[in-house]
Amino acid sequence: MSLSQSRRAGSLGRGLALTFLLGALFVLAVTQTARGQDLDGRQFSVRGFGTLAATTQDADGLEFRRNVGQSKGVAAGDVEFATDSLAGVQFDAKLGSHFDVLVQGVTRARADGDWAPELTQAFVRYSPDESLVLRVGRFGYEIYLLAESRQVGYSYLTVRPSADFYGMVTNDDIDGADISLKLRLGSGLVRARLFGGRGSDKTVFADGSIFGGHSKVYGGTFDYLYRGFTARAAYLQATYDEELELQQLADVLTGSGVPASIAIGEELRGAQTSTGIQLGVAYDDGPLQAQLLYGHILTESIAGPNIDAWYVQAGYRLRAWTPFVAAARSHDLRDIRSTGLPDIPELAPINGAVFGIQKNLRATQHTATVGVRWDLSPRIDLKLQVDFTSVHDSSYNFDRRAVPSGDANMTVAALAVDFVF
Amino acid sequence: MKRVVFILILAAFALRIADANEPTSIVVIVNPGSGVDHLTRDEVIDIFLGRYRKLPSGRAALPIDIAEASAERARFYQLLVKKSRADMSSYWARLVFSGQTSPPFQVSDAKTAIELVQSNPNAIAYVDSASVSAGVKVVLELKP
Repeated sequence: MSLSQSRRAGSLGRGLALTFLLGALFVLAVTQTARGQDLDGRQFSVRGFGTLAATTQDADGLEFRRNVGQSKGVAAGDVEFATDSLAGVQFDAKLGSHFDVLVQGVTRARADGDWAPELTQAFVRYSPDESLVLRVGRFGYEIYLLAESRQVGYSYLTVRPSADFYGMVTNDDIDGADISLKLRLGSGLVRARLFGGRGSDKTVFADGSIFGGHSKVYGGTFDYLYRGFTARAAYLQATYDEELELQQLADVLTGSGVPASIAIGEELRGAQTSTGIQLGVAYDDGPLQAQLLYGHILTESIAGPNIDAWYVQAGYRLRAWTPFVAAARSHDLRDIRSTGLPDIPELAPINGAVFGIQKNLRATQHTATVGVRWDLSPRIDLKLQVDFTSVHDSSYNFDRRAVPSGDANMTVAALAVDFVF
Repeated sequence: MKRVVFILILAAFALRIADANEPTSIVVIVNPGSGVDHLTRDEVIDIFLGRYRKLPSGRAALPIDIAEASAERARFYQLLVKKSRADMSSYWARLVFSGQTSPPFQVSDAKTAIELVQSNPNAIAYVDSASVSAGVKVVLELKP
């Protein structure tokens, strides 16, 4: 899809999104009658959430994106509603005291520029005991420490999850199964979860092309909760299906006879695996919320990211107002590798492909954030947030400058209304 | 002498008014057949915040919330975790929309909560200490 097609799709999509948002608000109006429950475990409910946000930034030639799965960013001086706006509806039905079924759909700006609703959760849950929960179907692998669902703006302080920390994660739901165990340990609580299944994510590059990867995903989280403290260690491994184009490139590189080229080609053979580790600690007690996260993504080839990332955030509620500050840093662990092939026109497609793959996965930038959340009611908030980002070498934002030079400073401002019902 | 008596009566009246305005505590109540005599603050936090809904006796805990706009509910969560209504709404949004768990069963008033606790050995609720009636057991008191 060309950029202009993508933009037309975006405009059309915003119309659909508005329709969806209005639909969601309609459900809000009737939800009190669409919710019924009894204490013995039978319950059905319809809930929803949404964010309507206006986002702008000031860096000429750059387009700010919430994550690398968005096909369009915010250009300098523009006001874009697609970047941070979304809406979702959830239906949950309890079938007795041990089973329940949950379905959740979300509409947001997708990689193809469309806003068609996506099924983000659809699972059957079996919980014979409070200590054990099994789920089968589509569900998210929670990675956001103080707000497990990244899409529900109302559930966290900032307008969006940190682009520096989560910008590479475009889709965090899988089709599979998970098991959660909970155990009281002294005055605290231990929670362990293992999950596995099939996942998919889409990355949009600056030329408008979309890389769609399907992968086998498995991993786990281990939490310790004590009063306001939560500590989390998480591990994730994603093994992507073999891509024909990558295998063709690997064949060319390994047949070149140049050691550097052969090494890159050998690594590209077969399925590509990325592993991620996240360590975090959060404190949420009374008016104070704070969290510190460390993330690490490693890929044993040029076909995936190799990143270290840090994120720290703190907010303090003063009546209905919660001012907050945050800082994030993401940096690449490896330099861009060369094929070692001569820089001649005949080999330019190969050299260009190897360079382009790596360039499209760069993630070196850091951001300081200030903002305030105003809780208008127990269901609606208003947020104002300003991010000061220093870009060094990053694919999070589209670089459309005539001569992309890497370094840039960008100030992103957003005004958002979040609601849940 | 009359003046002293008058001042004493006035003082007693003033103290009575002050006493009437003194906020009463919130108590957590369970069914006498629940097998529970006492709960710690941490255990009540785990139950009402959806972290671990099991009573120390091994029974499943079924927490009951009073209507969102009620004074009891606001005071309960303020005393238990120092959270406002908006804070709790935000907290539940995290858990509900990530498909983890559901908020407590909600009833319209304290009277209904007490009736449910009286009739269900797994139910656990909170009420103003002045509202406690027969047929329930107080397992934790949260003082202002």
